[in-house]
Amino acid sequence: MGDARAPAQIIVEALSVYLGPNTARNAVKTFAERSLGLAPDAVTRQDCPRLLEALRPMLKTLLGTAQCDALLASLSRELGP
Amino acid sequence: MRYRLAALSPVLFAAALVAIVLASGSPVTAVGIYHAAGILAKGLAAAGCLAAAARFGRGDYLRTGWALFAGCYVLLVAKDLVTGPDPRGLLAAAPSQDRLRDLFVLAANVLSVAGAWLLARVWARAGLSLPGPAARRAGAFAGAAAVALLVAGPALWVDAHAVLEGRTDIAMYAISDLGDIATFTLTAPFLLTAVALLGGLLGWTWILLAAGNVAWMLVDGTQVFGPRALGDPVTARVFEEAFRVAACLSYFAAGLAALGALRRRRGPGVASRVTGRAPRCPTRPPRRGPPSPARPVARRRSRGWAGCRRPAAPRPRPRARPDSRR
Repeated sequence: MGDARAPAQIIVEALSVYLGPNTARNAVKTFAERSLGLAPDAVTRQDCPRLLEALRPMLKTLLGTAQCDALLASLSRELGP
Repeated sequence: MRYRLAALSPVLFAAALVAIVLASGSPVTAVGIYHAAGILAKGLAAAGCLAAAARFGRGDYLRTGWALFAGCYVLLVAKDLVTGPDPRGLLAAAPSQDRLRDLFVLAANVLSVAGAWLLARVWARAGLSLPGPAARRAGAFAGAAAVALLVAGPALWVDAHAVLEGRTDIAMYAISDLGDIATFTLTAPFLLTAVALLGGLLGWTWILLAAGNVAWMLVDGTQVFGPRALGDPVTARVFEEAFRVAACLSYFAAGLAALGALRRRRGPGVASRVTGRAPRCPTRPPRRGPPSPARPVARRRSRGWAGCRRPAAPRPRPRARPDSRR
């Protein structure tokens, strides 16, 4: 399954369903810089598990534990090796 | 579409209430209609908030906020059930009932402020900052506080004076007025959150919460300015009750919007799993044969009929019998 999109873009698209495109983009940018010290474009698939874990508290607050876990699990599957 | 309908429902219910009251033509009948409509609207608001709270798990931050709102509306329903219709000049209410009514209103106000505070702080809790430049955020807070003081300030002024003159029984009203001002001021973070989440499923929840707060402000504003501005207390009461119904139904719709946004979704792929939309299915089977430069292989392989419902194979046409032209 080849996917030409950048990993950060995949995460932004999944989050924007709930948070809207602006907040999704800002959230990924904020947590990529905070947890990885990288710009979203520089995030690789190997960095994704750490980025998703960094996003977990935010998503848990806004979506609740169950929905957050489901979303992160789908993203992990999609971004996994 | 469902969310737009939910957003319209407060306006539709309020318009229906006004039409029913105008059709009844009697102020005494109208009091009964207000009472019934109030109980129904507050009951729906409690149910909506409770449903939203139930969607979250134990220990989730927003569960507490929604539960506090649900408790607020349950207390308001209890107040209406215990004290009966609010006659406002048509009939005399018993003092003991008034006391109980005030206690219910005070407790509901406390829960409402606590719930609004929790929901307003969701950004800080999530590790994000409220959207927009600091000046715009400050302006939104200042604007909301000014409107809150305009609509709830006069009542606070009168009640605070009475308390300072030694009438401790009025303290409950003064606390309720302060609660109104605090809740109305928290409309600012609700609005900013709604703007930030525009385009996302959660945005509707915050739009409707902000709309609910604005409608509650209009209730207080109509109580203060309505009789003078409209020139008739009866007309002002119609508007006040219509705004009250709209406020309660906005909270109901906000709860339903949260429920809908956080529903478990199924389907292939992250996007369809979270939106619940069907994946884009091809309208015809993928072509066989060698890949062409115009249609890359990866893209064609990622689509296909995976997760889609294949259209029924076309039925073979019946062969024309040799004698069918007769």
